[in-house]
Amino acid sequence: MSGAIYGGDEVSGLVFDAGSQSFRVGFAGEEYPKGDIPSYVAIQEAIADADIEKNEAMEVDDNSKIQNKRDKNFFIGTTKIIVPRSKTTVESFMKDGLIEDWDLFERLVEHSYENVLYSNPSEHPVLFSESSWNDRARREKLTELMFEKFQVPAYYLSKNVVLSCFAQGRTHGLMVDSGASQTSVVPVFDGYAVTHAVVKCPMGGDLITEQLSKMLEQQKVDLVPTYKIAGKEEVNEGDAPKWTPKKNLPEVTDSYDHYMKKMILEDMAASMLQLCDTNIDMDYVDKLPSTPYAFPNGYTKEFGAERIKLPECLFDLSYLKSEAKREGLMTVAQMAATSANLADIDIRPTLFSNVTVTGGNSLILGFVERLNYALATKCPPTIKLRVFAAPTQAERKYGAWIGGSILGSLGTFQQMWVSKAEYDETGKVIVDKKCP
Amino acid sequence: MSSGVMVDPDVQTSFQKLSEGRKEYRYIIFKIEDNKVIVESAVTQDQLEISGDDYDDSSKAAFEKFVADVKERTGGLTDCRYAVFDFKFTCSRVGAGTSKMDKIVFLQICPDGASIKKKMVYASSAAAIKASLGTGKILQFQVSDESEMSHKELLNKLGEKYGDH
Repeated sequence: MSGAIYGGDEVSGLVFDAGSQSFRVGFAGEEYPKGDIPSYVAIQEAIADADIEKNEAMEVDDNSKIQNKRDKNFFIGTTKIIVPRSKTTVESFMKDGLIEDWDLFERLVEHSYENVLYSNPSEHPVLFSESSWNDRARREKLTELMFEKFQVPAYYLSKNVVLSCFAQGRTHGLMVDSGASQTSVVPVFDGYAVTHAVVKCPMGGDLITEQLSKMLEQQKVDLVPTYKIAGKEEVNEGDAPKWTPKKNLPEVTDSYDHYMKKMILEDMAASMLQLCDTNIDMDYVDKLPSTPYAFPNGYTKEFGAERIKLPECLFDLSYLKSEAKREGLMTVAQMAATSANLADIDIRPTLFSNVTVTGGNSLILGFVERLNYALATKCPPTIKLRVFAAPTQAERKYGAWIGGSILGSLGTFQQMWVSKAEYDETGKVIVDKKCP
Repeated sequence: MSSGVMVDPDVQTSFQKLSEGRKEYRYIIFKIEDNKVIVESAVTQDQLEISGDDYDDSSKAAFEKFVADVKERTGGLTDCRYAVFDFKFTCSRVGAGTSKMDKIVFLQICPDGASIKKKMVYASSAAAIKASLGTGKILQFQVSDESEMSHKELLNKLGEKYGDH
């Protein structure tokens, strides 16, 4: 797919795009990331009985995910995390879109090299994405880590919003990124993120799953995660489920249980939630066809109005199920309008005409249309409002990665990389100079 | 951040022929080939073969010919291009009555129908060509579909900027 124009001088760079839900890794020049690894890692405390550990280590020896360090076991990758283990917590290395736990992060990068990309870090230049509010200390630390620990030959750090903006063929735009842990709005002008106008709120996919879980609680639906289920029988819709629990389960931690439940809730959210095109209209809601959802334990329930009322909280805070959390939150449209108004007045019309939606949470049906409607009331009447989104799901989910993939594969981009020689000469501050 | 794509020296010299002196060219279309931004076609006023006065119809006829040319070159808007167009129009301003204006617009044409690779390359290289043209002289527009490239919409935007509305 490289096309005749740019073929031939492809550099086999690697692209890493870290998000709070998953860590996207792959080769530059490819259409989609090779690996979409969960940003969560299962950490097992040392067990007194060393044999258990050894046994488990043997089992997964083929593609060893186990690294012993400080007597802890780490399990990375979806298939490893979901195994119930005792004394094992599930933790993420990201917080607020920034790398928080460097130790876990390092393990994830190692895991990507060894088990996803099967390549030697010292042979490939690396392009990393970062969020627009990343701080200097973290940028330098990442640079240091890649050059010192992984010995990469060249490296580049790029703002994820700029990458997704470019991937849409634009150099200006108001990037609305609705991800798992939060939604952020960043204006991009002339290929640069306007960092002082960044607006973000912890309103994303995780909030939706939390709301779903509250709703199920209210409806007295028992959410049984898959790991507890040994077998189930088919029952009619609405009937009590008949399932047999798994025996000999180790005593799992709350964080593991929570993670497993979240996986079901995420699937539920993806398969049935929908947003109203305009402000919620009760007549329309009542007429909405209900959709059955089959829980892992065999229980099936029809959901009607909830399908549309639940995600409504993204655009109307009064739909939030917990009062306490409402404080300090903003709706997605408010965030977009605030961010645009923080930017220079001359570029505001351009921003409103190029609102671009990315991020996995924006895949809720009707998100783009609703944002368009809600923003229309908040933007000046003379301005032509346009809301765009990438046409396919994958492009929206991996927008930043795809942008990085193309950029990293360009022969001409070679001169932009921070090389090992430059790093050795200048030190980690080079990243502030070469990667704006 | 930019892609490192270079700009051919011809780009600047052609642009000077459009913006300075006798204003030989009416519009220029640029494309990226062999890792360089090059001039694909430069069209003079005579080549446009327009009989009427550009200020009377605010370049409508000329612009439509330009759009048709762009569409043909991009295979019906499935490829990307950069273009500059010398936009002649009249607008009314308070105190000055109607006045004839002459502005150069820069269009970054990255249609939704183009491949994501092309869009990425053109968007990330835009900074280079804009720097070479000199951003002070031009008005930038980004085009992602045909409606954004319509004469009416551009004229509106120019009117907003220079006219009295």
